[in-house]
Amino acid sequence: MNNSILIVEDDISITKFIQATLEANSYQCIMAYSGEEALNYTLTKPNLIILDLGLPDIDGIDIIKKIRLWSKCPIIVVSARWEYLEKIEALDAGADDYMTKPFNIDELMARIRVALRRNNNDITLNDPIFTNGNLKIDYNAGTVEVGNEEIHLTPIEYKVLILLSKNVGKVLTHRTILKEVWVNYLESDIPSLRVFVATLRKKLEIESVKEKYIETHIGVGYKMVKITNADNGE
Amino acid sequence: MLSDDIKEHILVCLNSAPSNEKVVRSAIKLANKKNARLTALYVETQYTDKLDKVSKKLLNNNVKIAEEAGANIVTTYGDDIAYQISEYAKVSYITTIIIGHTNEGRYLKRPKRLVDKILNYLPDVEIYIIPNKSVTESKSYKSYPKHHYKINKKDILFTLLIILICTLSGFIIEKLLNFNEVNIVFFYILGVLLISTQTNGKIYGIVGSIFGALIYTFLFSEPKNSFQIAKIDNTITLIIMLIVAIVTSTLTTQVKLQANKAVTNSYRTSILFELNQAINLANNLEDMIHVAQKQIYKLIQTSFKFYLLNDNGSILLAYLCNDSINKLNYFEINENNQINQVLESKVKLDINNGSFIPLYSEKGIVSIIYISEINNLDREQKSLLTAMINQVAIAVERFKLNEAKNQALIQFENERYRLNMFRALSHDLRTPLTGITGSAKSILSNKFTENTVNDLVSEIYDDSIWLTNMVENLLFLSKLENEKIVINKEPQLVDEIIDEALKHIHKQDTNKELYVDKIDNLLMVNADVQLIVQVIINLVNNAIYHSNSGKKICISASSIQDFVLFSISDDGDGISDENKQHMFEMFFSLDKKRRGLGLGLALCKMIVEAHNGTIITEDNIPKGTVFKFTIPRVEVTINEQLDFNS
Repeated sequence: MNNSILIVEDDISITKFIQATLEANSYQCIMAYSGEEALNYTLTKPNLIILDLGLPDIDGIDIIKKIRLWSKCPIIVVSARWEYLEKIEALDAGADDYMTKPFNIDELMARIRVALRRNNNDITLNDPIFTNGNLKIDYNAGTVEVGNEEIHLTPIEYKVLILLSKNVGKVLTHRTILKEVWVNYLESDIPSLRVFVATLRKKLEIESVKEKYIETHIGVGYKMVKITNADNGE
Repeated sequence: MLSDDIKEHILVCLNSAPSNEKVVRSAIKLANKKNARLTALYVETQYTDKLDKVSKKLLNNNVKIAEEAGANIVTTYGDDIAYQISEYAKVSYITTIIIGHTNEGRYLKRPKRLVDKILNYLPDVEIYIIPNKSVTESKSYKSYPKHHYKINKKDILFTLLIILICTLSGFIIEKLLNFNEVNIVFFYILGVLLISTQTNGKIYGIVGSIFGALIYTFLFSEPKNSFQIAKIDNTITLIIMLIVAIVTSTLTTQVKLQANKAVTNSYRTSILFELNQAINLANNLEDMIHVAQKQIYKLIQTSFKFYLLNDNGSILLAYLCNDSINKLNYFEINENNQINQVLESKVKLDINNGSFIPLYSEKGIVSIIYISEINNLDREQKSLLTAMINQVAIAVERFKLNEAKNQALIQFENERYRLNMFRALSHDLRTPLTGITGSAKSILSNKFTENTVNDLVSEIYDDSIWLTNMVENLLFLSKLENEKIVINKEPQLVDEIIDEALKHIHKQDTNKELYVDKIDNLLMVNADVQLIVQVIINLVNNAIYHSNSGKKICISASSIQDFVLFSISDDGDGISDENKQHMFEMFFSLDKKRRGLGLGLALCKMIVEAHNGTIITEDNIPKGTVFKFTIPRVEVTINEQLDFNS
């Protein structure tokens, strides 16, 4: 059994409808209405945590940091739209994904599926060859193919792509990418990063394949989407 | 003893008269007694350079006395001393003027006394006159207002030529026409008149008339070839001729002087008027300073620096003005020290060839101007510069006051706007909430068929979506208000912005088709992405909900000059021209059936304008409406070789 989900949310009606939907999709739900409760319930080792950042007792970011001290359990953060600085902080602290309030329940379900799958397939990420839909990266040879066609990338584009592929399904903040790809990075490099990702995406998302690999989380960062036949992206 | 809260401001006029020391000392006494600010003013005229050593020493001595007593020493430039004094008094908020009794008034035409002139200009200022009893002492001052003319060769030749012509005419009249010799006198009078009007200075006319008289006596009057005069009436004729010459010469010279003065005055007036006009047209302080600098540069034609100061005396803005105006971002230590020195002493500071000139307003020094080559300016330029600087100082203060006033006005507007908002909110929030609670309660207490339940639930869903959009807009409005529109602008890709906006649009609620034109995927704008996304969401939602019969909504973005032009069009019923004017106003709602706070478009306008863009609405062709807005475009240049670190 790896379908237990911890819902950390202080609003009862939101908890209720998430619970109802999750249980209808045969997930097991544990409810926590405060940060304190949440930290206690993480000891039950849930397979995924849905965490509202605006809790009354403990700051959501602190909860993530505490969980990350000992657990790699996927965390999906829920926050209001304009609090994107908070989202970035949460992602940098170790959250895997985020949802913006008010959110669409179908989208939440899709994200949960992706996060769970990612967590289960952790080992396969060490594979020398990465495949995602029609995208194929050979880490040893340093080649990238889309639909059996080799794509030529600049060194930076390649580095960005590798980083995203190794974290498929996870939102990487601008800061994280800059830190990994540029060694001495500045916040002011973010516009350049945008340009690199735009050109990278132009090269990867070719007409004949019609798959979108890189998702932009505006003001936050980028995510490589796990392409599956089942839910076609997400 | 100089502090800003003192209201009285005494002005003492410096000059080179020995009696001036007494005047200065009286002023110091009075200032001490009244605890007033003291300024000592010296008006430099064209005669200043011609002062003899004794006078210069006296003047310097007086300056020193005033300085030691803590007075501001100010020099202005101009020949009309009364005008200069009163101009300075006006702009410096002088309450009392102390002046010595001068010894004018013994010339041909008695000029108005200085005091009377000043009183003419400044009827409201108190003037104290310190009498000057010792007449002998004032001798060095006596020669002061005398006009000096250079002897001009052209004028001498002209005078001789006219006299010659008169004499020749006299011969012609006497020898050929046999007229009475008295008629010849009239020729000489005519000649003298010509000389007086055509030459510069009285002297030629007078010399000409004396010459004429001598030649006439010698050549024409009986007995000829001698200076003796036989007939008494000839003597009278000659005397009259001399008087005519002197009077006309004096008159024409004065007319010429007046004309010259009128020309300089009108030049002065026109320059000051131009400055004034430019200042009045400026929209804000920075603009005003820009145009003022341009005008000053036009006058002095030499580079200068302009420092605008904060109320606490720190530098707010600094410019270097030569052919163009450049903002300065850093200052040398020297420069800072010098400015502090000016602020402390409140007096002009001379360094080498240049000087730091403070601009005073009622509240103290508002700006400082540094002119490196001030000695290259002539007196007229200096005088005009002083006047311009005074005008700019007043304008700076006025703009600062206006800013404060505007702040208060904005606050008032905000209050009113908040009230309106609450009124509208309570009404418009209640409507969808009534729908939601009603439907939910109804489902709970009745056993409806599945179809009815679905209908009711989808109503609930629609209402909540509407509420969500509105709350979103309200939060953005409050964000814009609370943070006083501090916008977090960053270069952003246009197609990412549009993608993000589309994520927040509930496409499934509409039967309308949404198209996005292909967008150059490297097109970037400098924008706060959250805000711009909201603009697109609002415009698209607007098209979804208000283009009743429309089927198609199109989003596109393209580069136009330095901007990116976004356009959102529908093929609905369009908007009447009258309504177009009010579209972007707060609480304006077209659709009376569908509730709407009328916040969305107003918010769009606020956001776009905060990005220095514009938003308009036009008719779509063949039918429908287009909303267009612009946002400044940016180019990001990247150099992978430099950035990449392997």
